[in-house]
Amino acid sequence: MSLVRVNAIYRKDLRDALRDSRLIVALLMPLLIGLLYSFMFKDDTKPAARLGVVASTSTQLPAALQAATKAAMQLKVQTYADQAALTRQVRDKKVDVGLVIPAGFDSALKNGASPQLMVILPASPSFGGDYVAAMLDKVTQSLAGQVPAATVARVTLPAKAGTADSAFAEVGARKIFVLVAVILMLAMIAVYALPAVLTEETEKRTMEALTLIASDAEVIAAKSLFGLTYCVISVPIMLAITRVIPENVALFAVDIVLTSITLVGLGLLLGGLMKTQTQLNTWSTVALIPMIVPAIIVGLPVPGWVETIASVIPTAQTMRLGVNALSGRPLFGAEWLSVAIILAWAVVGYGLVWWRLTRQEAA
Amino acid sequence: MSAYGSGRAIIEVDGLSKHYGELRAVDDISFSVADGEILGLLGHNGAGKTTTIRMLTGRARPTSGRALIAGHDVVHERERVKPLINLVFEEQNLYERQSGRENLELFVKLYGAPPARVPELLERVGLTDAASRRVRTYSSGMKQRLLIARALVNDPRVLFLDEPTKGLDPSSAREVRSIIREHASAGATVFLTTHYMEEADELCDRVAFLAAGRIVALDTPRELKLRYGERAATVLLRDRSEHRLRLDDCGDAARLESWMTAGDVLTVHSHEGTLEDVFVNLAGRPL
Repeated sequence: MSLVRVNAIYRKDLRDALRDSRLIVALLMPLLIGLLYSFMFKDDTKPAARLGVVASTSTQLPAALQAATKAAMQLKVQTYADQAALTRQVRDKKVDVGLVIPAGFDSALKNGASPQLMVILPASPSFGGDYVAAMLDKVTQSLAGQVPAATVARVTLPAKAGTADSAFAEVGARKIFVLVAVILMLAMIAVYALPAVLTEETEKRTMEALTLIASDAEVIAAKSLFGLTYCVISVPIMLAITRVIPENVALFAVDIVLTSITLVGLGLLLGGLMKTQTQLNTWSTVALIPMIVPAIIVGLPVPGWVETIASVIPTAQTMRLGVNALSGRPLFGAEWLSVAIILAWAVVGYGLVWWRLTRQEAA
Repeated sequence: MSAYGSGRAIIEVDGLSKHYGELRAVDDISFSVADGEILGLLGHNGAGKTTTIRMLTGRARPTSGRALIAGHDVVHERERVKPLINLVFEEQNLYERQSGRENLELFVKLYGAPPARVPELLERVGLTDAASRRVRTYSSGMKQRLLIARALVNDPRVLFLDEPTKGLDPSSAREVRSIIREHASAGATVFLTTHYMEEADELCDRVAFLAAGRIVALDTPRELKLRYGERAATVLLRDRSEHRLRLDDCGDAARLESWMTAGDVLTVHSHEGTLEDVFVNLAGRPL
């Protein structure tokens, strides 16, 4: 094998990719999806609620509400000048719940009076708004110095390891969905970008011009390098624009590199099977589904047989390793098994590519 | 035509066949091509021309028989044969998003040729001014010239051309033929397929006719025309009547003699048979 020839074909492919709008779109689409997820979801694992307050005198009530709801949510307090302004904010859903606290509210409570407290909720209250409203009785009793009727001990059970709950609880929705976008991007490279390059070479018969001097193995090596470069460049771009930094960078890198190698092998196989761009457009969409769905359902409560099938798909193992790397904890255990399954697919993919090449040469 | 004649064969084909199931695309052909010779392969679509080139360039494995190029088996010593040959494909299979120069640079690297070969070839095929433009903006004639330049990057000892002037306007076709002739005059062997009889007549030292996968005739164009073509003459008489006579026909010869004796003949134009006539005689229908 001539490395000079591999390098020449590889550089040609890279240059061609920068001028091929199809390949640019194949890269941009998952990047935009990742960016969108990053805006839609937050890193906080606790829900947040906004409390609007109108109070003409100093009061402990907002702080007491924050303390009382702390275990369940993050309550942010914003004060307003008058009731009209607060009502507008609630109507516009800028705040989840509004409180109009009368003057001398705290001292009135302490003196045993029943001052009137106005609670303003939108037509369809959020969970946060309802929760704060429901906590008012308990909090005002406490401010009035009344002893609670019972002492409630709150015990929050940790999420079961290896489930989507544990992943969301540990990592947060934003990072999970960015990881899904990363896997989508690698899958797009495998089932679309790389096969598109190969299919075009076959369809336009430039492949025959290459193999007049280069060996099939040299061409395949160059295409593999091209696919890997595409993956290795695009994943850091995704992480940079979404500002996602894995807790275990080394494990994440291993996960991405192994997955890239495997998916590139499968992409070479798909590209070798397709004779025309039209065929590829049809079958790449079909091939994308079994690559993406197993990654998305990792840890979700699905029937056992679905979980068994999904667990042998490499992208599902990419997701498991990825969540472990993002959280820095082995939420989905048996990392060696994930690595083994991904590598097994690499062996299958490249083995089939090699088998096709030898058959082709014998024809 | 090139001045071949060393007699040393650079292409040797012996009993070469290629079968696809029941179809005999190429059926037991044997021939040799001398170093520096231009050989034309003519035949209908599906006669086996492209399959023959595919086997000789190592892109299809023969069902039986063997072919040697410069003494190397095209199947078992393919890596030795590769640097010695090149091919102008029937399709204009260029990288259209790349410039003409980038296309040539790629193949110069693949063949390990010196980088100076790129401007030299661009100049030779008249594409220096368009070298930086992307190939998709080229005309068909420019693409064909670039294809030929690409096939010359390794200065091949044997240049295969599959329908090199197909679809070109007369001016572009003339330029392409001129480049082929120039390469052959430098001592290279040229093996081409074409549909154009005049092109074969003009370029080739020898011509092989392929029909249904078999070689039905192989010789110089002149010999083929003499052997299979119709020798004729057009006679214009004093009464302004025109007559086409076959010179091999005894009756026509006697008529000519009587007109000559009577002093009725104004002009006589002799006609040599054409390769087209030869092909019709051999294959039963024109190309």
